[in-house]
Amino acid sequence: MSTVTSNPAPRSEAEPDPKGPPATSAAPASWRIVAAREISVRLTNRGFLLSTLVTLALIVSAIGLQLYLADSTGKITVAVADQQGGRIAGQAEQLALRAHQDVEITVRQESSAGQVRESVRSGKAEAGLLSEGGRWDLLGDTGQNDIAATWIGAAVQSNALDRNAQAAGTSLGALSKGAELRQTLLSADKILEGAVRVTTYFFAFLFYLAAVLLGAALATSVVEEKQNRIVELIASSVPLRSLLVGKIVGSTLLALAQMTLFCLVGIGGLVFTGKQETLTDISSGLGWFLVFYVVGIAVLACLFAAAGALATRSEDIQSTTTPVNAITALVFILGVAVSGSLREILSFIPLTSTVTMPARVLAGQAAWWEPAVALALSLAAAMGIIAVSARVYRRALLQTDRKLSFRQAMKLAD
Amino acid sequence: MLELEELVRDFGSHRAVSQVSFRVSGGRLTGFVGSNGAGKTTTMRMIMGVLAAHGGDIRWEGAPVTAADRRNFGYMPEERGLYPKQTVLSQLLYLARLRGQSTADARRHLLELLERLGLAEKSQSRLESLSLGNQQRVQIAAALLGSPELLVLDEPFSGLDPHAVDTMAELLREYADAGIPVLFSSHQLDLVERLCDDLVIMATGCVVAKGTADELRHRDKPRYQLVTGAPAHWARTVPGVTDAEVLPDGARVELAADTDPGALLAEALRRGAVYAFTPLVPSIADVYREMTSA
Repeated sequence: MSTVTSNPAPRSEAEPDPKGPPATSAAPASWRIVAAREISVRLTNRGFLLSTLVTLALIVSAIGLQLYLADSTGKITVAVADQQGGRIAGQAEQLALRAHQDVEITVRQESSAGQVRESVRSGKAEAGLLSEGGRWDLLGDTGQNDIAATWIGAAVQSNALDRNAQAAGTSLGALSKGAELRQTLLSADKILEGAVRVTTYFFAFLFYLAAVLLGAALATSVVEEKQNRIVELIASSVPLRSLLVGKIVGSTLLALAQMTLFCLVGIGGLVFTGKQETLTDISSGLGWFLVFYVVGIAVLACLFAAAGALATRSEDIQSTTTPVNAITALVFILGVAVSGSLREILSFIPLTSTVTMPARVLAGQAAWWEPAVALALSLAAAMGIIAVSARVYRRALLQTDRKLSFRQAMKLAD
Repeated sequence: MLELEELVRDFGSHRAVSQVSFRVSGGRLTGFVGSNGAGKTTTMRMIMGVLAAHGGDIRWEGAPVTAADRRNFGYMPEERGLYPKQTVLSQLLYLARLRGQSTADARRHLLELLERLGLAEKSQSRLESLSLGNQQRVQIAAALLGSPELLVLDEPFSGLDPHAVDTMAELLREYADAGIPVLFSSHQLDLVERLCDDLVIMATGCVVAKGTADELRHRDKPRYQLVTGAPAHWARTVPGVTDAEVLPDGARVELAADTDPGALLAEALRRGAVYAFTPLVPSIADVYREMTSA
């Protein structure tokens, strides 16, 4: 180590050293400093960036796959042996288009019934259409093509009805008069039950995804100081609650930013693939879901922080976070599966309220005060969990040789 | 000045620190010694608020110590560690900001501190990329952030190479000379003897001795080595001698507290030649062994 020749850095009490910065009261709250470090460290972490990019790549691939499938599923080739078969195939395409189905039928003209069969067997055509003794025969290889079966079936039926009507001295229009059923919705302005369900599924899934993204990362971050043994130095400067709150805020903000990024890419994909109607369904009552989602994630983050507080090294994280992961899975399953009075009860319980309460609000089954009470309960739970976690963390602080059970940690003295 | 009064800490049914009282005065280096498990680290952790005290008082400048006071205490914990993947400057800056310093002030002060510790060129390196010696210097920097009003250092010399020990000793002296109270624990008794103005010796959770190094060395009855060339059996009969160990060439003599050693020397000279008459002052290591051997 180098020899020190300069003036000493310390200051005497009588003669304050201008070099030494004093603690300023205007300094930001310590939890904000912790949160800022948390975010900057994670944003420069290769693992974090890589996992974000991989997830984005998966979303883009899924959209691409959907585009490809949408482009190819409606296209079939039908082999025919005569012009009448070609006409039927053309009528089938028209019927499908009139029903707003994206169907494109290509006719493959063959010279004989044998060649039609050969085309179907070799896969050159998805289906074959032959007429034998006034009856139409739709050929498939190992199974019938659904598009061909539906729309060629409809075309054949319509042709036969028309022909039979003419033979009976009437027309197809006269025959089908009064057979149409008009459909009217009395409360078309209310949100559809299906839309509520889609939104519930969507947010339950997002909640689960956020838990996966947030959980291990937050618990690992909470154990970081203990594992690096810097925690004693930090504990002598700031209350451990500030450290925990900073970590929870930093990790939660990052997880929400990640989710927003994924959602934006997903929404872009839906618009690009022309699936705006799905978007309209999901956006129904988005506000309630967003509010409960953010609060739910905060409660979950507190639980993961508590799991991290019990661990001594990052290797312990898997076992200490298992109960929290189980709770998350339960929230996902219960959120989409339950109904009736059980759903009503769950809509007040922190975490399970994340998806059940907004679903009830959207379905018009909740009074105005119910979501407010559920939110208050969630926030109270978050604060309670932070208080207990800080206590566990403080008590288990100097236990750097083993992980603790919750009961053991609570038994330790401050 | 830091004052500890009858400090107590239990772990379950085990009393780790029992009625510990001592003070660390401004401008003085106070050595804190004791065998492993004597309660030094627990006491230091209570001073820093890392562990709660189960009894007694800790006072800073006459008033009970507060969290705000502690933010101005420099601390080197027994459990060393920093963020291995973060750069030297950024993590020290982070720790300084947690102590309430503004970024600009902390950065300026840190750059000076790193310069002093020979780490200026490593400020942008990740901690894990540094040699062990340099990592220890960063740890020292972490203890000296800002302008500490008190230094509490648990085994600051442990694991340091001889050059680093010299620099650390020099730094501690400089801080003490600038009026800062410095408390440090160490097992290196020669170093403690060389550096310390005051000493606190702990054994099994209790303070067994405290005072200046001189006071501790002279706390027992005065002892002298008398060399006369022959066994000095007569020494036992001299007034004021409480004990005498007869040696082949003289005796080792213990006198009552207020006895004038001149009387013993005069008697020896009256009886014949005296080749040496030396006061026997115990080293700090001797005092420590004596105090902690019971």
